[in-house]
Amino acid sequence: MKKSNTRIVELIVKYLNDGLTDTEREELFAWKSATKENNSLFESLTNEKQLLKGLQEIHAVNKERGRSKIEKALEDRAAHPLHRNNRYMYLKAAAVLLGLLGIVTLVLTIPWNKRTQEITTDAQKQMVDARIGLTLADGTTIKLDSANNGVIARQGNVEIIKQDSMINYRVLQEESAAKAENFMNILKLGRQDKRLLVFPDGSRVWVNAQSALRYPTIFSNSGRSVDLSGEGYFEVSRKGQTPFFVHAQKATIEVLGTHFNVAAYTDDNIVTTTLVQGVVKVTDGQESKTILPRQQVVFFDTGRATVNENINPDKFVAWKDGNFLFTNDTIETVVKQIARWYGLQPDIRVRDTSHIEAISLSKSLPIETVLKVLNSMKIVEFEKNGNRIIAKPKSKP
Amino acid sequence: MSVYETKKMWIGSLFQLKKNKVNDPLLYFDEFYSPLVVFAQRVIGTQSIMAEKFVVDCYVNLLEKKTAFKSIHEVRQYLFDTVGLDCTNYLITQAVLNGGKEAGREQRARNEKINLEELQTEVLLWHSIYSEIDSLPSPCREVYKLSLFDKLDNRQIACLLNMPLVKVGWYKLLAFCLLRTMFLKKIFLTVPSILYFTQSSL
Repeated sequence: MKKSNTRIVELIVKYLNDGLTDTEREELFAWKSATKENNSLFESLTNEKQLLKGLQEIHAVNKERGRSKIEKALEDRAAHPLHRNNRYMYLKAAAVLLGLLGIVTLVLTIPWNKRTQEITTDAQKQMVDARIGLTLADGTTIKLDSANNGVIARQGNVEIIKQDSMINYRVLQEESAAKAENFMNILKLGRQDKRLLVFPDGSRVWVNAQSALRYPTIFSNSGRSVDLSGEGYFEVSRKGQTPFFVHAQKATIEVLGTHFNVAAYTDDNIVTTTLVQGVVKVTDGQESKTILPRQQVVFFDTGRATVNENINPDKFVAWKDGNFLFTNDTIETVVKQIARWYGLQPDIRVRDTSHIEAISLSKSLPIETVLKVLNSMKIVEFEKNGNRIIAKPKSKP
Repeated sequence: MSVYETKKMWIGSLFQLKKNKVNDPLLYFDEFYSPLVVFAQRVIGTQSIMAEKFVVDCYVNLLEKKTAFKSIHEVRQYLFDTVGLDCTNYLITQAVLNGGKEAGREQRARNEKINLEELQTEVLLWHSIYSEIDSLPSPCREVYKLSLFDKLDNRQIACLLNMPLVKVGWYKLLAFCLLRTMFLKKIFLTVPSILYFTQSSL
């Protein structure tokens, strides 16, 4: 159907209204007989039942709801603008080029392996040392639980706004954004906590309990890079060809604009990257893996990597929606996840290969209820004893 | 042409059109919102929330850019192309998530593209007709819509609108006559006349 849609609609309406001129009639019928598709489209457009169904669908659309959603979205974007003024584009481009030249010179003089190791080690150390809360570049830590909603800090050109569990970084003036690049922040969470970080480029990161994320207040134009310890779900906005790097333990995850989950708890000694949307490249030392949706790559501390196919991504990102989702998981995995959330020590006393078939539980439930539900499955016995969660063989009646 | 190339082409044309700011963005809303939602719903199935989301996002991007177009036809084509691409991308992602094979993806996308053009024509026609019904004078419009879309008979309409039964019949007849003279004689001689003569209690 190559002819313009408007023209066809116009001709069909005229045809239905008996208002076609001879030339128009010829035009319409030439189009109609040109292909089978055109003919079937013509028939469907003049079919009473289909027409009535279509009219009913148009009638069912809630325009007012759509209008208010659009207005709200526009207000939100106006409050937190992502698109910047391009007046100083050339100056910025020149500055970036000069900066890049400097970086390239520096990069070429330092061996790659040594540099990666140093950055990772330094970042990991800072995250371990950081206190629970949001640690700013000057070393002050803001306790997020007690902080009120609104602007909680200002660093250079960037304002940090807290809105319940969301922390939003807003650039005040784009022109001097480059000055803010050196402000590194660390978000460290304790038990039963998860936060959403919104970066000035529109990228969003959910940080899970017992995790830490180290990041600049504003990303440079040459590359976006964060360090993770624990678990995070990333929704990275595409920013041209500027890559986004996540450094977790020894692994580096490189993306352009995708949704993925990274679990890198130090006590697990593995880095698991699960892809929900797009493509990611994960590198650990010499080994590099590129994965597609429904795939997962696991890097072990030995340097070995495996790619799991056909996984269910929902299972690995359920935590961000406040749920535990166990499907065919080992008792060890289940206990570790629960222990991490409630800030307890896992104590696994079963050596068999028992699995939890499928269960979803809200993370807002008290630990006692969660254990009660798991015990009702009669696989092993779960028990909370002091600050430990114990999984032991089921006692005989 | 790939999804990326099409988007790139549109961005290029939008950049050029920025010099010509002539259109009122709200005009785009009243004119195209409903057909776009139906269009998206038909493409991605019954998931109306996602369909609405794609359309809302498309409008937000358009309005935020404050782009002006040379004609309303260009606006319409931009909106349908963008929503169509989003829907196709969504279908491809869902197919991959649900275990779809790589080999079938391009073919599915191509099929979707052919159907999108046809679907666009259909929804535009439905919306043209619906707009005519919407432009009927007030009492006729309400009576006619209740009859056509809610399938109410004259008694139910009379009860609902608190008007005499005879008036309902007359308003329906008047609406029918107005539509016939205004627009689409053939269609409204068939569809609504069946409804009218089977339900009328005149």
